[in-house]
Order: sequence, then structure tokens, then C-alpha cells
Amino acid sequence: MGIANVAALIACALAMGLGALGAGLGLGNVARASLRSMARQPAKDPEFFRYMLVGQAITETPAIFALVVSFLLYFAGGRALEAPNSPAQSLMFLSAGLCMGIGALGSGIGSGLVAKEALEGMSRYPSSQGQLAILMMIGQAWTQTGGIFALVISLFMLNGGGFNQLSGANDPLLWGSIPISAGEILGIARFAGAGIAMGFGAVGSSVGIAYIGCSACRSLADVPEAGQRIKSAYFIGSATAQSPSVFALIIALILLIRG
Amino acid sequence: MNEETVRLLIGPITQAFALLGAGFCMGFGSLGPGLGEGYAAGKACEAVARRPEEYSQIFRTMLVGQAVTESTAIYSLVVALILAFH
Repeated sequence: MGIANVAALIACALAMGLGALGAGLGLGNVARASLRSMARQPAKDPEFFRYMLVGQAITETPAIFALVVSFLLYFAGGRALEAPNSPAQSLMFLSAGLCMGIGALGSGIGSGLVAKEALEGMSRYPSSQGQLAILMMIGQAWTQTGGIFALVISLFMLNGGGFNQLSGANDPLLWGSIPISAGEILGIARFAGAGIAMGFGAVGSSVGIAYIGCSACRSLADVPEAGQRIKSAYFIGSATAQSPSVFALIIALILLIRG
Repeated sequence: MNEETVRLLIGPITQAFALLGAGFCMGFGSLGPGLGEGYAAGKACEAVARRPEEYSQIFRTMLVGQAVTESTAIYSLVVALILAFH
């Protein structure tokens, strides 16, 4: 047992805490919209209930990703590690947890907002219900991409992420009274940089795409006859808004792989 | 800390800060463009709903606006790549 185990347990808490924060806000929004829709159209009660459950199930996914990473970190924290006192390995666990937690934040809030707009649109214009349900699911899937990128980077870090080539590359040097090798210093920077790049990179795109999804659902409910045009503006707009998080993914992978 | 240690550590520390800087640069650099492009496309969807017949003009303006917003993300990408391969 060493500082790396402690770092893994802290990261486990951070991943699940931040991941649950975003999804919790999103789920609450979906339930609120569904209740308002039921109050507006009591006859359609079972349908709103069904769409609420579908919307909440998709909003839940970032929290489930965070739960998976959190479990992996928990087991890593209890395991006897190869280098239990290595600062680079501690940072590896911490930034894997932070990357997943922050990445899940945007996706959770965003997909909840999309489902909220779709449910409110359904209650205002029941005739476009089917179209709105499809657009809601597509919109929620779009907002998940940030969370999925964060999951990929986080799992990659937990599987070593180039750490094995780094450790033991140089003999330990003394920095003050702390023994640290050049490989360790580079490892710390590599993991921290990749975690920050992907974590924050995922939030911006997820929230941005969620905003497009909200506007598209609202517009489609108000003007169903312009549906095709709204959808094409929505898809192209989302694809462009996705690119900053793809850049972040590329930089995070370069930082991790380039050993 | 003797001079020999400083000499051995200064290279890795410089490179480490460059890598950390690349991460910060791309992480926060992609936060803003992501939000901004989303805002532009969201407003474009609302505009199409209000005036479906002006679709082509709205669509073109949206794409140009997003491309300009994207440029800040590309600046971050370039700087992050320079730092990562420092």
C-alpha cells in the first residue's frame, strides 16, 4: 500500500461524485418536464411516463460510465501495485478519475436538457410526438459523445497508457529530499495534461450540442412542416460543434502515447 | 541539490511543463468553441423554424459563423501540438 492506492481511492470518489452530479441534474430536468406535460395533458399520462423513462435511461449513461471507472479505480486502490509510491502512477489514477468525472458532467446535464425540451414540445403539439421522440433520442445520443471520449481516455489511462515504458527509464535523482526520476516527472505531466485536455474538452462540446438539440426539439414542435430543414441544420451544426472535443481527444491520445 | 542534479532535471522538467501546458491549452481551448458553435447552430435551428424559405441563407451563415468560431479551437490545437512535440 502506498500513495498510489490512496490516489486511486480519491479518484474513485471524484469520478462517481462528479459523474452523478451531472446525470442527477439532467434526470431531475426530465422528470420535471414530464410532470409539467402530464399536468397540461392528463389524458396522455402513460405516454409521457414512457418517454420520461426512455429519456432518463439515456441521461443515465454518463453516470454508468463514471460508475464503471469508479469501480475499476476502487479495485486498483485495494490491489498491491507494482510501484505503490510512484507519483506518476498516482497521477494516472487521479486524472483518469477526474477525466471521467468532468467528462460525464456535460453529457449528463446536456442530455437531460434535450429530453426536457422534447417532452415539453410533445405536450404542446401532440401531433408531432413521434417525430419528437426520434429527435430526442438522436439528440441525446449526440450529447453522449463527450462522455464516451472521456471514458475511452480514462480506460486507456487505467490500462497503463504508456506508463510501463516510462517507469525505470532513468535512475532516481534527488529533488530536494524526494527521489524522483526523469521518467516520473514526464509521466506526471503526461497524465495530468491528458486528463485535463479530455475532461474539459468534452464539457464544452457536450453542452453546446445539447443546446442545439434543445433548439431543434423546440423548433420541430412549433413548426413540424419545416422538420426536414431543421434536422439537416441540426445534424450539420452538431457535427461541426463536435470537432473541438475531437481535437481534445487527439491531443490527449498524443500526450499518452508519445512515450 | 547539487549542480549535477539540476543539470539532469532541467530538461525533463521543461518538457513536463510543456506537456502539461499542451493539456491545459487544448482542454480550456476547446471549452469555448464547443459552447459557441452549439449556440450558433441552436439559433440557426430556431431561425429555420421561423422562416423555412430562407433555409439556404441561414444554413450558409451558420456554417461560416461556426467556421470562424472553430478557428480559436484550431489555434489551441496548433499550440498544443507545438507544445506536445516540444
